[in-house]
Amino acid sequence: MKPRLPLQSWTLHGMALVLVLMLMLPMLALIAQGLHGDILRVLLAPATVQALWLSLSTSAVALLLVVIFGTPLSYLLSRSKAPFIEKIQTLVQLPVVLPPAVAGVALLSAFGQKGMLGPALDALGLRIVFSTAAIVMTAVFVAGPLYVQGALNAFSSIDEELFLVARSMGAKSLRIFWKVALPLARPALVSASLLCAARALGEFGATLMFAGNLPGKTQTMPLLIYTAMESDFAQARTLSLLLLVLSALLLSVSLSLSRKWRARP
Amino acid sequence: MGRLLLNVHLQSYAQMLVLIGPNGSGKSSFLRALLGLVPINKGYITVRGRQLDHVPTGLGLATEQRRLGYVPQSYGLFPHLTVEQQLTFAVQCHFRERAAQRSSVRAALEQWDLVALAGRRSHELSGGQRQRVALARALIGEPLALLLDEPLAAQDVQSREQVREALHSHLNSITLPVIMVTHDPEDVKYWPHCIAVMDNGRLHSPRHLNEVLPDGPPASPQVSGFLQEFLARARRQVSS
Repeated sequence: MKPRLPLQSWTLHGMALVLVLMLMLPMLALIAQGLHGDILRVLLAPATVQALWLSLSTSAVALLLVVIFGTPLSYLLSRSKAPFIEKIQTLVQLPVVLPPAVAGVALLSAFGQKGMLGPALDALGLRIVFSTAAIVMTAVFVAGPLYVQGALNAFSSIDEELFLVARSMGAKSLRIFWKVALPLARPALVSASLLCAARALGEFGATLMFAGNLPGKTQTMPLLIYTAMESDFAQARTLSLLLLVLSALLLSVSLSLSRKWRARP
Repeated sequence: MGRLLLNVHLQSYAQMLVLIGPNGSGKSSFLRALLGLVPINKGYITVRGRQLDHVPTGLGLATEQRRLGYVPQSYGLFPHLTVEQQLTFAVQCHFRERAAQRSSVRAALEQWDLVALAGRRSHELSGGQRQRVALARALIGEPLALLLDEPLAAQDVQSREQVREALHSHLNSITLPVIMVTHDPEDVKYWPHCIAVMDNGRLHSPRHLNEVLPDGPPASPQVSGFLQEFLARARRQVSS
């Protein structure tokens, strides 16, 4: 006779299954229904190609900016023992939890024509709102903190003794950062940047408010999906499926690298 | 420990100084002060004529300027570097020319019998091999002195004696001052001549093992008890 699982185990599994279903059902439905219909026509349409290119290129630029400037920031935050460092960490990560509408208003308040830097930007002949640059800036604002947090965790987990030993050998800060910290944190940094890229790719609300929804100029994939919903739900579904696949790919590589990093000797 | 009274009038010219004391007595803090990680607020630190700290004039060299070789308990080998790369990292801090760097690394690999291990990473090395690499790396930059923080604590019991013997052999081959911190009586077996007791942040004068007694009454029964047991075991080791 097979041993019966204890009731507590069934209860735990059952409760877990509820959330799994709530999370999986919408995605499974999207896949099941999205695979029907004229996929190729939708995917090869000029608007789709344009929006996809815009999404990928602006996410890539945003990611580059975040990695270049966010890596030293995360490193310094991980090494600093200043008493106010936790407050800086909180401020830097705040955009992650901001509602998208709030993020959009914040960006407009800073860079809009009537924003804090509006007059200065006007004087320089620069107009950021409703431009492609606005998409990049929005992506940096909402997705950057995800990278910073991941990078901060990576640098913080490096054995402190390694830094001390390196210093005792005469190595200066930049050398230690480049030759010790960065290589040790690399897999986790790549994992964090993939998460950041996935978030940037899917950004919608703040982008709509700050960059607008101008086809060919600021209409990213999420915005195209939003537009398509009003006229052709099947098209919106197909586009959503494409974005789902891209996001899933980024996430699975990120998790795989994360597991490899945790399992390192 | 909130305050470390480093009233360390330590003019020791001995090659090897063994610093003993119970956990929490300030031994590692003493090393950290030598390394410049803990600021001193009185006095000075001079190692082989080079002033590292001098409170009256405000001098306090950064850790990377002190030229002290340091081997922590865990040996501190960089997990992502091979043995050869560990030595290259250390030597790049001292020599600019690639040729001089390569020559120095090659010499160190041969001197420490690491040629066959040059391409291995730290997780592929045994405890004794890791210790050799850590020592070679700490010494390749020709430091003023070598600081060892519980060098055998990371070894398992079975291999500890073998690694201790190897350490004795390695340290005999170098000619610069060494300060070794330990709380294990068996570690003084090979170096009974210059033992200093750290007693709740106060360092007593170094003496031969047979003459070790704290100057004045110990700060606490814990130190007294530690010393009794420590000295009994250490003296048994030396005489066996």
